Amino acid sequence: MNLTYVRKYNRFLRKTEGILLNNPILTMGLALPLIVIPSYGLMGTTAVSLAMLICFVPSVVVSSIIKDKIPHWLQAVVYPILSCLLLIPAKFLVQNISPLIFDTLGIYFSLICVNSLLMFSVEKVQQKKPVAALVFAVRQWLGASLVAFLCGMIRELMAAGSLWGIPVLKNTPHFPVAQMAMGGFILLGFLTALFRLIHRIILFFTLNASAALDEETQVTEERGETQK
Amino acid sequence: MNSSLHHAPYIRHPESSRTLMSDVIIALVPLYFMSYFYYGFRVFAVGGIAVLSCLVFDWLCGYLTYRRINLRDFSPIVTGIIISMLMPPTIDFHIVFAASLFAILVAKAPFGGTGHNIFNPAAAGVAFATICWDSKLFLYTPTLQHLPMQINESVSLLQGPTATLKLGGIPRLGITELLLGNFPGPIGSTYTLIIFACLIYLIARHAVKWYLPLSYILSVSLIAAFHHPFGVSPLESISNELFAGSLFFVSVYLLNDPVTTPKYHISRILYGLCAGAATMLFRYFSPLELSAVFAILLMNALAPAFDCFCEWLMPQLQARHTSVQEDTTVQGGQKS
Repeated sequence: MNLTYVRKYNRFLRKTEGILLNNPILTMGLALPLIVIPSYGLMGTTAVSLAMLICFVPSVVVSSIIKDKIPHWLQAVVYPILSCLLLIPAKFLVQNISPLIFDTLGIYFSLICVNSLLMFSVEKVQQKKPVAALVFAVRQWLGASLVAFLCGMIRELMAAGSLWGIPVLKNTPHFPVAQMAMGGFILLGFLTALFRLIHRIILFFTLNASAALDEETQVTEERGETQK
Repeated sequence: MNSSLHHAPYIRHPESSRTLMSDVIIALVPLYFMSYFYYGFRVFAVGGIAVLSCLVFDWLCGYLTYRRINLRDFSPIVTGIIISMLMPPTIDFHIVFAASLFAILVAKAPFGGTGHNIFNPAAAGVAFATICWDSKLFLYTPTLQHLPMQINESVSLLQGPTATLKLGGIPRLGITELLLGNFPGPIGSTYTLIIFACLIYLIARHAVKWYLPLSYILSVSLIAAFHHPFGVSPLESISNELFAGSLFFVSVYLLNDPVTTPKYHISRILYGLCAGAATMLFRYFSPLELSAVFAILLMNALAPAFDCFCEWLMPQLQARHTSVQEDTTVQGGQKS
């Protein structure tokens, strides 16, 4: 069977490793509370994404440089401490988003430095070179941020009918539950199902297109034989 | 030898999902007529929206998950009717729609549809509406007032007796009013006399096990009797707690869902007792008036734990029973 389109699609997916393929949130369910609870709106999501970029990416790169120089049992302590130190500059950057941002984020801003995504990434990059580790960390961060932004946007639209505090939907019924943690988790579940459905639909169409291509080549071959 | 081969199941019951659900629908329909008498045609519109949206979303979810659409499955109709019964008569239609959507799309379909849901879909839908629109869900209208389809300023809205109970007050309602549901309340969950008649019908039809609502009511009554307000007799406190809100309705229609209740007799009794205690605890310590649905949802999550406890308890009791029997026979033998 001719699988040209399926291979093309798989090649495209492999290029988006960490973002669409093996997304840390949708596929592996890492750092769920960190992504779901502060993503009540676009402001909160931006703050968490920025803080994660500053804390998470350098910590992963440093872990790939240090590798086995520190004992394995100490690594689980050292990298979160490093991430904690990086949280200080992150705080100065994030406070520019909104004066009330830390009140709304609460404990979840501090929790950025210790999460399952960091521990998973640190373990994954032990055999990688620093540049490859940097690419891996940025991809993981992009994947997490993509889901968080999507969640934040939908939740803010559903709960307040606004985006970044600017009213967008004025005469539509609002769902305050969307801004609660419960709403966030339910939405994430449906997003996961939606991404899976999209993946299946694309696979279905690529398989059909491949089958059609296969038939075309067969017909042309038969024609060539008859002409001969 | 004249024997014929049969495929499983070998144990057959006259009761099926369809007969159970149709019995529940028959037991729910009289409540609509009573609410029509009190509030007018609007209650049918609320019920129609809830039932239709539940049916449509159930079929849609079945289609999306490659399940065969079963037209003989009446459970979405029951879910829709129960949701509408727990709503106030003046409720906005979009709230009813959202509650039905949540019940099917979140509480039922992701778990595998009919017969596989962990939580009662109707309870989940009402709980969702309570969390989202608590200010609209507990505003009722006086009875014998035919409501227009579009609720405007001319319709007077007031709080029900459960709000008075919540604030520590005493709703002075006569026994006739309590039995007939002649006070501001939800669409169909305050008509005690009709609900009681329907309960008898359901018990007679084996759709409800009598000990489950009894254990629930017993637990609620005990707590209400011990925790009665100053100046109110324990009996009056019990009647207020049971019949002034949706508690009795919940004990008949939501608690007895055959899918979400435990499977053993003892665990069911424990389930009912704990559900009653949880309802009263939520009623006393939560800010929401309708606490029963949250208690039911909590107990739904714990239902397998009750079964596990029963599976652990039964062999222990049997072992003790047999050891006692052996002791008595040995003693009897020695005496003789």
